[in-house]
Amino acid sequence: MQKKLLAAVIVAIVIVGAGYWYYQTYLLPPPPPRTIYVSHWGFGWDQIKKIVIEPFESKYNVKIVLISGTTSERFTKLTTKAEPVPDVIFLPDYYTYQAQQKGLLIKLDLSKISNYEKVYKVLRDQIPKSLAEYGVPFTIQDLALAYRTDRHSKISSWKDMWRDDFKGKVLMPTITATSGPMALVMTSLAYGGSIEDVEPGFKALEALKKDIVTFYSRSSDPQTLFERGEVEIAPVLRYNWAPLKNLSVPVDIVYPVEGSLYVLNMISVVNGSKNIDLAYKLIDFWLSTEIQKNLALAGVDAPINSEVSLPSDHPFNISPVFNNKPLYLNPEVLAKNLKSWVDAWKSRVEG
Amino acid sequence: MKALFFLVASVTVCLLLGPIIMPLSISFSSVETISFPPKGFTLRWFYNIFEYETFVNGFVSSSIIALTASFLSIILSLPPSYTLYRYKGFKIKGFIENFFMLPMLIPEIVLSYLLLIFVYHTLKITSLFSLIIGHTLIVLPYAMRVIYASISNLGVDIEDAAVSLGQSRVAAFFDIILPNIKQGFVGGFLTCFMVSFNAVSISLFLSFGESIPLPVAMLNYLQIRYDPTIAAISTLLVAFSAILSISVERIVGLVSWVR
Amino acid sequence: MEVKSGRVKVYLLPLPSLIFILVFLLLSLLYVIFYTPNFLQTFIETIAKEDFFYVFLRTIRVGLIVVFGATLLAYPLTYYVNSSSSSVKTFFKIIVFLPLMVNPIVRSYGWIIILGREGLINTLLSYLNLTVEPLRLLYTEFAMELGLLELFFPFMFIPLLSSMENLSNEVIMAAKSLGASGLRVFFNIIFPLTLKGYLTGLTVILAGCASAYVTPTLLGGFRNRTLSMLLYEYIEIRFDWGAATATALVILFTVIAVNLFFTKLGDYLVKR
Repeated sequence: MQKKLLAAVIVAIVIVGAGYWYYQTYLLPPPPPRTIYVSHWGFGWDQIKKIVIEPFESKYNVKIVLISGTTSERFTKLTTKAEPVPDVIFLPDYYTYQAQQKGLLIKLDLSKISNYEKVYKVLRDQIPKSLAEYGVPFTIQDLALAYRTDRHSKISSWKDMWRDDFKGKVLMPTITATSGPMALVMTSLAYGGSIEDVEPGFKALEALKKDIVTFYSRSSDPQTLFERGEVEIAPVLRYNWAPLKNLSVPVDIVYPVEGSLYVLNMISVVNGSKNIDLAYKLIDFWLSTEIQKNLALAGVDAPINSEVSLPSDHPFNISPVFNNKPLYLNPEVLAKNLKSWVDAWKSRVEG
Repeated sequence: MKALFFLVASVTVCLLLGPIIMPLSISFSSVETISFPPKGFTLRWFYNIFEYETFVNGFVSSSIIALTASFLSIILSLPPSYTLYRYKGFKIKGFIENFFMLPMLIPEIVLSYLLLIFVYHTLKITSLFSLIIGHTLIVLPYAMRVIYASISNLGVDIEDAAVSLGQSRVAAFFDIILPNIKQGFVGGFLTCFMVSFNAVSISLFLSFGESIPLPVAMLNYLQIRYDPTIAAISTLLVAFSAILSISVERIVGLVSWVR
Repeated sequence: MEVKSGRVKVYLLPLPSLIFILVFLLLSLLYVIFYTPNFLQTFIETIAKEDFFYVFLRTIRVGLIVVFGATLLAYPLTYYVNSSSSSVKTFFKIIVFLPLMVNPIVRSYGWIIILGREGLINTLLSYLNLTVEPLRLLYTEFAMELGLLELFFPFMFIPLLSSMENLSNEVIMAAKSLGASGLRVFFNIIFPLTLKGYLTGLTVILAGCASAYVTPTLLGGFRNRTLSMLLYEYIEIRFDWGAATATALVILFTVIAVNLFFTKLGDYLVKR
């Protein structure tokens, strides 16, 4: 009797064991795709999703989760290590610099990014050495002037914002927006100062104060304010151009004769990421000629890949920048001066 | 003289009602910008509300927060009100009354910041519960006022009668006192609900992810677009408030807190 | 009636509620102050900034202007309503009460529709050929004051009206029959006797203007920042917790100071 019991127990164990092994090997659902977190402004994400994210997700069997917000919000979250910590982060170069200074980014092996060579050499070479290995530029954000063509004669100079017909209709960025320090520097350059010496810029802005309607901080403010007729001229970054040209009121974008001031937006990999290999692939993918071209055609970002060619009247054709007088705003200088500029701006200009 | 009064009265009425009527008027306009006068007729802004997950979630969050905060604040108001009502000669009575009015002294936006640092970041309490704590604090004075007034108006005799007939105090509380303050209870609850539902500043810094209340969702939307969707939400909210108020009127009588 | 001690000491009953307020209100306040390293220094640095001074000045100025506007409207209105039939009284009580059911975002949005360059006022003015170009009404201190006036007017009207109701009509009649002009009646009789209500309203308005966030932001914009906008800025845009705490404390002190001052003032003046 006992032998039969023992035999039954052994058989049962064998069957259960075999079943378990079979289940583990053949029936278990496939492992979930790896998830990588991407910190981005979120502007134009609908298009970005179609063009970049979904193809990447299916090609590499990964899931990409967006963490969106303004530059300063996401930068602060990065410094405080707020959850979820991103693997990849998109920042303007002078924020990338600050992140690198704080040791938050990993040093990149640029040879692993095949498409890096295709980035315009003139742009690549301008990046300070300390920054070049921590962030890969994926687009250029240059500053230009938008204005209502139906209400004003042509503008050509940065100083046209001080013209009589624009009195009481000027929109300025706030100093903490990406275009804020750029507007300050541009004003300084137009009024005889330099990137280091912004005092002429402050003086000119103080003179303009009463004609500035308000200061914008969010990406979509310029569009809504132009649409409502509250403002008629504003300095805007390239990502605003396509939306501005699609309003119900006629707006045109003009490169000021004083030059085209630009910063580079960069992709970086966050220190501590467990998906560094995927991060490299994403960066390489984002820089590829096809993706860069499609992003440009969809009105998301200007292409930084020199192999992309766009029709000459396309808003994202950046050759006029090179023809105009490209001025790279050195991120090291900008990052060093930012705090004092913010304090001074807040009391002197926004008062 | 009469003319002056008439002038002042009309100015005031326009001042107070104007900003409320305007959104109602353009919520049906087919123009995309917020210009006046409205043109055309469309319901698409109302449909738009439901396209945006954040608005529906916001309504649900705001309702949950308002219901919980109102309920909690009433519960928290009952024991002190009872004590104050029983102890007419209580020395620190005035102190306690004023203590409950403290949240009215602290500006909502300051309180939101304090709770952000202490409750959310340090105690690591989730956004939803932080919001509930904040909202409970700000409606507590309203709850206290109504409940205390209701209990005080009862008069000690009823309870004494019950106790002398053999009921325990606790039983007396539930059997005698509570049913008699039903009006105050309901009225207080609805007041707290309205105050909490409409409170914006307290939610400013505590809203994250899923639990973003409706007013904050509306503010976030206004950063992106100024189209009449917000006007449509306003119309719905005004209707919602109207329905709630009429219910209050039916149950309790509006006049009681238009003191 | 004798206090019988039951199983639960009755005077312990308020304790949970008191603890709730103590912890989340007062303890958090203390915590935030001590959480900032070098608090005193940060505080002084923050309020010493020129920027801070302008914002503080503006907040006070805006508060005073709104009080002025509210006074101008509330006194005649409450006097008139008080001496009217009860149906008129109820009508006004409802009209004044209604806006309180609507959230400030909706109300500010309404003002944007009224004051915008394509809004009600500008459309009306250009239709009547009174202006060539739309006026710039939004993003000004004026727009902000208008919005705040609408927001806080009920809080002046209601206490003032109840003070008015307590005024005996006979006193006014007596004064008039003795030959006092309207103005004298006002200053010597109405104003002193309704002072309590007026000061209550004034306090709420001043405190409110210092703490309101939504209305000033939507109607005034970055050019016309008030203290509460500055607090928001330090938290969400500049990420300067020390400065944020300092600003929060300044707002708190201002509100408490206004409350204390006008309560004491009211008591003092009533005695005279």
